[in-house]
Amino acid sequence: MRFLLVLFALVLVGCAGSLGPAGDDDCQISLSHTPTSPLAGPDSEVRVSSNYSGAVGTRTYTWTIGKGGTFVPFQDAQSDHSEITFMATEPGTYDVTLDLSSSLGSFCPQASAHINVLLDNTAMDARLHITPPITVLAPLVDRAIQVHNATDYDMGPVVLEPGVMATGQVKNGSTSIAAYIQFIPQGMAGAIVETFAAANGAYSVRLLSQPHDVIVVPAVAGLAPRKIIGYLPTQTVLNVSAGDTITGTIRQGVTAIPNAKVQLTIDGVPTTLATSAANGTFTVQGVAVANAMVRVEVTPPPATGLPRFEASGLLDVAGPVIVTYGTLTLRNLVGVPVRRGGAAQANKSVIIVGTVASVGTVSAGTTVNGTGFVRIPATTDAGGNLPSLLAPAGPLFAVTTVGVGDRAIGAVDLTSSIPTQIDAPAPAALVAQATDGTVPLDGAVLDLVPTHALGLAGVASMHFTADAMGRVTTVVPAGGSFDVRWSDPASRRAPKLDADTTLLSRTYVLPPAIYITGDLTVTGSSNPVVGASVQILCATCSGLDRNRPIAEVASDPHGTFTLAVPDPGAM
Amino acid sequence: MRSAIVLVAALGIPGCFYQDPINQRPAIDILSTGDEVYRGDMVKLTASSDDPEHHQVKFTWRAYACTDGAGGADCDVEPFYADVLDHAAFVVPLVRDDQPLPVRNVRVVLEAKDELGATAKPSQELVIVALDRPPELDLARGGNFIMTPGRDLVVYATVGDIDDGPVVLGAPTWEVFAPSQAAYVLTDVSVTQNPNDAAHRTFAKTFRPSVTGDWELRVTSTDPLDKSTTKSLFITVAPPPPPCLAQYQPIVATGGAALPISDATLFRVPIVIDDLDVYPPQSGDAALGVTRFQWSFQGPGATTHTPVSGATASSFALDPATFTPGDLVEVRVEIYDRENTPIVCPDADPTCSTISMPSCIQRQTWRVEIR
Repeated sequence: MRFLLVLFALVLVGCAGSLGPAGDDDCQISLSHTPTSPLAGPDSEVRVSSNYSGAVGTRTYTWTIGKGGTFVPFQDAQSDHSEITFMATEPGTYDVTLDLSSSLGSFCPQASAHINVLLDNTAMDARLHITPPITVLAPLVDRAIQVHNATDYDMGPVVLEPGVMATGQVKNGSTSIAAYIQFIPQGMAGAIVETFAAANGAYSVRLLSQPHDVIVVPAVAGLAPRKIIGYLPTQTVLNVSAGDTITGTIRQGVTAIPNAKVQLTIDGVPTTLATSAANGTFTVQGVAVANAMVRVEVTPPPATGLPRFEASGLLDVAGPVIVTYGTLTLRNLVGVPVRRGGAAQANKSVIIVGTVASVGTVSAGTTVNGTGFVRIPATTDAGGNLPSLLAPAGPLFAVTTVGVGDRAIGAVDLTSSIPTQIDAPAPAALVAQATDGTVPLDGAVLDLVPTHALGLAGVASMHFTADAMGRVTTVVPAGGSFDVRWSDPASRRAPKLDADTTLLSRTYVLPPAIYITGDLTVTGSSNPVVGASVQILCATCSGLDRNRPIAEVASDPHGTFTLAVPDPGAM
Repeated sequence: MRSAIVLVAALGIPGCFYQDPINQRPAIDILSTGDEVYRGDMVKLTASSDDPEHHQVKFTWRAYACTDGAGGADCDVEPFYADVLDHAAFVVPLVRDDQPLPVRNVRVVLEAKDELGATAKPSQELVIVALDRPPELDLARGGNFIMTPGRDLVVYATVGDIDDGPVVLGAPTWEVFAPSQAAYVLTDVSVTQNPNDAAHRTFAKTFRPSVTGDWELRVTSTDPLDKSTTKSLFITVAPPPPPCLAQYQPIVATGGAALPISDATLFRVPIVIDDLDVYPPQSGDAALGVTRFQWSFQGPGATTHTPVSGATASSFALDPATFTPGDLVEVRVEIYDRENTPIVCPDADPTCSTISMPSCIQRQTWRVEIR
């Protein structure tokens, strides 16, 4: 998913007032406001009410309202001054304070509230992902938030829960089992806490004090990974077992395919990994779940020339799982030269990649079509020719590593024949500039995330920093497709993503940013949380994009963070 | 000494004379613990007497502010202190009353009479030297970071002068003693004075050493009477500490285990701590740069980690679909600041600390099982 498609809206809370700490005489004040999510406008009136306890005698109310350092006028809404109203003509954060004194000398700590007034109701989902430093005893959190159009937002205190220590053992009967474990708080899927259980099965990890879903991946052969729903941190044993035995066959037509690696993922939980036998059969251990989404992945031996098979569907794994490759024409690329401008590319790494739309089917109660992914690594010989390798007929690509940082994409169309040569074109110049619309953004950061052929070949992302003119000047594989990601470390503008594009050399106008601020503390402590990782993540993305930060900062020595995120209204 | 003669006559008594003993003068002295004080100091003196008849003696003290107190020359006409007590206690004035001159001496005169009026002679005189108090001087440095070559350090010199007040003090003088006479930069910094402390003034300079070693900043404050105070701030300039990996994701398997991944996974370094170059970037501090990352990879069957060209961001994506299930691979990140301190641990070491501190590593390695 593309975070550019996502607009953000922060959840506004009607009771934004801080409850001051109780004084010696136990006087407390809190503030609340209506409407809970005010919209800016010439007639937008916001009423702020005070709620107190412990202040006896005649009370004197002293209110202040400011916005961006400017005084905001207000009016009494109650004759005793306990409520006020103000006109929220502009979007943004209005800072309200109230000092309350009583004729009998009760001392009340000052109450304050940050009232966020929105431009409109345009809002999109995001996630606030906070990982405290190791010195802070609190598990990470991953909260859903919304970001509103053109509105900076002050979250006020963001309080982390200290959680609880969960200790226990992974066991198979009475046997301790080493394992990899994921604890996923229910309702907070992004706040995964990972740990490893040692050889004695023991684990100890800090978790939120709430039910979790737990995935246990035993490190012992023959035991099935397992998902445990509703685990409580007070539980001391995570039981694993061999689970269900799931069998199947890999074949092409009636020909068995041996030595293929097979793994299923059932309802998000992987099975064990199996290798098909000489007769194409395989057996994995897993936990069968009725009506669950099952992903089947088969990786045949490279020598077969068959693509990697992937299919997902509501498969019934109680019976045999039959993976059947369709009839594929395979072509051998032996002797095909790889050249750049006529020059043979000797001893170069070449990866043949591509996709095959209808590679076959998987049948298990129902039949689902699979997709084939070709990724065949090879090395050219001293003459720059490919060795013997089979690849399925179709439009494929060769990604050749000509030198360090010099990769070339060449078409390998095996649809009807074997090409006489594979081209490794010289890299193409890239000059890209980041601006705010008028002014270049010096120091802006460009990340090029390979897609298509380069992505299939596993080429890593490339990272650049713009010069004083906001420019990045480099070379990239000619014809390569990338997700283009710009960001501004100076937080002048918000990140920009151009997904899956080959048009790289141009000026990119980074969108205006809005700023989300907050102050990190831990329940039960007034100390700020310093050095926490605070990120805004995509709420609707999947895959890698789900974990790529849209914005990230570390909380400062005061525990404060300020994140520059794209203004939804400008996207 | 005083004497009295009383004649006594008695009628009818055969004539004879009675004469009282002659009252002798008491002898007096000033007891002091020294004869040098600073201007503005409290002085306490005690009178002692020796009266032959053991009469009670009454002492009178006078103290004069002088420039040259010897013999009363160049002293104020009127004493600044006078009292009738067996001890004296006064504060040495800062300046004379007659003239705007700093007090250099205090002339103390003690006189006494016994209860019969015999005056002690001679009166006693003590000249106390009133020294000029040197300026107060305190040095402080900004921040508590480790000082490294090329880094700016603000050094504060707060001066005061009890005698004459801080206004008369000029800016202190600064001297830098560098290891091997290395180059340095020392520039003035404007300082906002503390409005609640009128007795002191603060000066500051930015100090930027060029090399490692022990440096001395020697600061001298001199008052108008040429009294001076010198203090030194010793600064050890150390090689810059390396950046530290503060957080990394996902979890790192230990003890020979491997992290199983079956989906594309982003290996990330969300936080790097450093004095120079940090991550994430801090837009509010222009002095701080951004960490440089270098990701390496060890593929199935390989024995060394190879840097991945262009993989210099804070994250590295690994898609298990580009490998064969069951493969064991390793993902490695190494971090550098502008010092580019080499990470010289053997390639086989999964972690590395260039300063041999496990709490501050510059290398982390994930052992990954492709699933």
